[in-house]
Amino acid sequence: MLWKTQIPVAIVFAVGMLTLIQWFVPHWPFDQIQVHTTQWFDIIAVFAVILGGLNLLKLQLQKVISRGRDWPYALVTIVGFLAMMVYGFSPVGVPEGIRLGDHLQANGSHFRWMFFNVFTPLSATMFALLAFFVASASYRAFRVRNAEATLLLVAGIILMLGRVPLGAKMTAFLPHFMQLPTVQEWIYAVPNLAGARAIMIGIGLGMVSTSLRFILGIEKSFLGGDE
Amino acid sequence: MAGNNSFLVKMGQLDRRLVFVVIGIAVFLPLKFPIGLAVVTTPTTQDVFNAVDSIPEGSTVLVSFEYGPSTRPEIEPMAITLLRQLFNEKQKVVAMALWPDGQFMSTRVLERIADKEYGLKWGVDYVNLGYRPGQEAVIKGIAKDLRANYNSDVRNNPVEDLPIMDGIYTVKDFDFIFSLSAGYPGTVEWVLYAADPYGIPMSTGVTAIQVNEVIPYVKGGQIKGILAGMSGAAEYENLVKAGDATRFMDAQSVAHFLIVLFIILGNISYLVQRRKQTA
Amino acid sequence: MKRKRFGPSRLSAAFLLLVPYLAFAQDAGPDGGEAPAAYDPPPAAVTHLTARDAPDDAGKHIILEFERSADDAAGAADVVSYEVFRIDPAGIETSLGVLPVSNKDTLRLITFDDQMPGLVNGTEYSYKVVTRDASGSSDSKLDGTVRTSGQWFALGRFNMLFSVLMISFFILYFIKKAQRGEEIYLRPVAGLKAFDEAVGRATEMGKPVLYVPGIMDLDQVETVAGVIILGYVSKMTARYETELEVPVSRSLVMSNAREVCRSSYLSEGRPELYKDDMVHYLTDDQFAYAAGVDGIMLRKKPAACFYQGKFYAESLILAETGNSIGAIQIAGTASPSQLPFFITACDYTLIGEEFFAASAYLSKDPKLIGSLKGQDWAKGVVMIIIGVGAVVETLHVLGVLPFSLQPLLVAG
Repeated sequence: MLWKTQIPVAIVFAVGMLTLIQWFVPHWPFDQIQVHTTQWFDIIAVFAVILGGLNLLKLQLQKVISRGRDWPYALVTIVGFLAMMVYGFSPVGVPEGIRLGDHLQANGSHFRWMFFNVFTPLSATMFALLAFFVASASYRAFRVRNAEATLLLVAGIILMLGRVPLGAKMTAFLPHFMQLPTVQEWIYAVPNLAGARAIMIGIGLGMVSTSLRFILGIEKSFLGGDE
Repeated sequence: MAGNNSFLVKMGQLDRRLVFVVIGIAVFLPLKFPIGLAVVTTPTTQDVFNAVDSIPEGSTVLVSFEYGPSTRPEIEPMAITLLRQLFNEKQKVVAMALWPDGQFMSTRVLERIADKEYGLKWGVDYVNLGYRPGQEAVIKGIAKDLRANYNSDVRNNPVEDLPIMDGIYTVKDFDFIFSLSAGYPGTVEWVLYAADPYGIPMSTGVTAIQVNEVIPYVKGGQIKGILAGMSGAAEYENLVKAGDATRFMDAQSVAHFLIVLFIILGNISYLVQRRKQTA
Repeated sequence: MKRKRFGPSRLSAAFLLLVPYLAFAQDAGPDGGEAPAAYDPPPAAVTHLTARDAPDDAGKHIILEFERSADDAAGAADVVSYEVFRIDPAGIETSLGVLPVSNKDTLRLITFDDQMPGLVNGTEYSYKVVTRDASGSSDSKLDGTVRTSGQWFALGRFNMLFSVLMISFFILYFIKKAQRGEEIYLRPVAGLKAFDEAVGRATEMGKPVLYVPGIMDLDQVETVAGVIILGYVSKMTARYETELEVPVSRSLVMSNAREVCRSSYLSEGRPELYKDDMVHYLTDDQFAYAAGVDGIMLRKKPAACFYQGKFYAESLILAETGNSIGAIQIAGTASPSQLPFFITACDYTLIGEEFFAASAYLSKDPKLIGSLKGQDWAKGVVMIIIGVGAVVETLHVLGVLPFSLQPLLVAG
């Protein structure tokens, strides 16, 4: 109980209060708190990556060894993981005259080649899926079920067409205030902005309230072990 | 009549794979055979152009790269155009990155534009300080002391040896900040921790998805304009010099048009079904 | 034309400067060469040079202000640069930088921040600005000295301190009230009611529950809120003996989520059902993570998918894949830009505040519920401030009111 709850809650309280105080007290040493605590967090997070990496390797190796379902995918993961480790941390694939570390960005290094020719297209492919998923999701979900849904649908259509040259061309014959780019700009800048600001204020207050619950030890379930 | 109705109902229940194929073709064909639709500039893009244009000649501009390989097709055209506009106006550019892969992006773009296209001098006309971990803490850090966070550039030259960094000790010494952002940390953090508290003029280019989150700061006057996704990039290119994004806009136009068509089909089907059920 | 200042010393200096030009003109040969350059006196020095300690900081920062030279963008319009010097008590001058001049700026006041190395709190400094044109320079020195120091309270943030204290007061007051057993009404949130339904459905179908606690680390409040909600979901899966799969994108989240799940299974009396590997790490990279989670969805076909935390562009990729496998999906996030995607593709979405309030709803702990009521009161005050602010500012802009509330609301 002491180690699992009380000490962690005390640490949360102390660090939380210090972080809050430093915002209002610019004098040394309070001005150093935020920079240092953030760096501590980064250092801990970097070491924790090893934990995550080992967990990933363990699970994938188990799959390959036990020839579990879809095990070849696990093998691809392991090979990719090890390849990037070798190219990132060892002298393999480092061009002559380039220091280890600098090779990550250097022309001709295997790491850079992998980054631009394997990682980049794969990432771009995943991001590009959005184009297809936006189409399927709007096709499925935008229905004139009721007045609000209809409003959403009409606003969505105006935005989609108004943001591209085709929309401008389609409505070029209308007066300026009725042209799609003008209307979409208005939707963005007025009703959408009002809603976004309201949501952001609510989120801000929610964050303050949640943080306060953490600092004061009212909410401690995120620490586990309080049951 | 019944046959027509069942056809219309089916139109609302198309297999999503069919939707994907149609969208795929709709994107591919205009890329291969451009239509050349005229790009219309929106006020927010014009604001970005004007803000960058009004920076006094010879100023030092901080350009932060907060995007990665996935969002490169959307943000890189903005980065290229921005650098062209800045270098045309004889501004000095200091690049940095809050994302680790942002450094790869900045290296590539600077090599292409500053080095090959403009033949500018590293450390004098431009420099790449690279990535530092810490997310928004990096912004807060450089607001207090830039050299404590960046003591060298990506080529390991000490910052104090770089002529471009003369007189630049904190983020406040930059005349303008431009954030090329695809998420966190990015535009919002630059506004919260640098541009707004220290009154540094700032502008941004973001992915279309992010616009909703950033637009309140644009309309609040904390950011001067916004390049909103691919369309923003195309409009900006049009103002500076045409390039890739303008070409991509044909594809986006057709894709958007088809999505609207699908939505209309889905709704016709929905209304027919509803009438059937109530009849 | 440049403004001329006459006086005995100026006239003699001008004569001396003119001598070489006259000599050059005589040597120019039969063609006469180029016409002799006109005498260019040094530029006018900057005026109104002031220096003050920067407020609300840790010191080591002095703000200088001065008005441009009369020859910058006016007069001869030939100023090349301003160079600022700091002069320490020993009289040693340190150059702080050269400000280039375009001779086009209409803004007359220049502000220069001295935060350069060597500035020590408590020491008296003087400053000098040297104005240069092509032929010469003029100095302007600060009258007296200035010292820099750190402050113990940022006065400019008083309004924020007031807000923090006000919100804290409301929250603590209503927590006390709730603890005394006062009934607090909570409006029903459909998404939260559906938690049980979703886990129940997965149990009936004999399929796993997938829980995604966002893609960010524990330094984000949303991630911690996501982990808290995981505590409740894992209690349900322990109770119903349903398989739980929690792929994470940060190692620290993995450690934390494991601890929370272990504790949930223990509290439900089913520690034997808990396995460390039910919470497992995939990758830190956003889209690689999305690909990994999509793969898990397509292979394991979970009947319920929870997305609770901080999300970016991967939100729709996850939610559409979840939809394609027919899972019941409940999202919760404070990322405004991702809300439209979740609302479109998921069955239920906890929007912003609802997401942060989820743990209070699910736990029914009076202390947490009380904090929600306090939060609502704070929101009420914010609404009043916005309303009053909008009216006052509008009247101010229209010239009806002579004052503005803006300075009170801007944080320093």
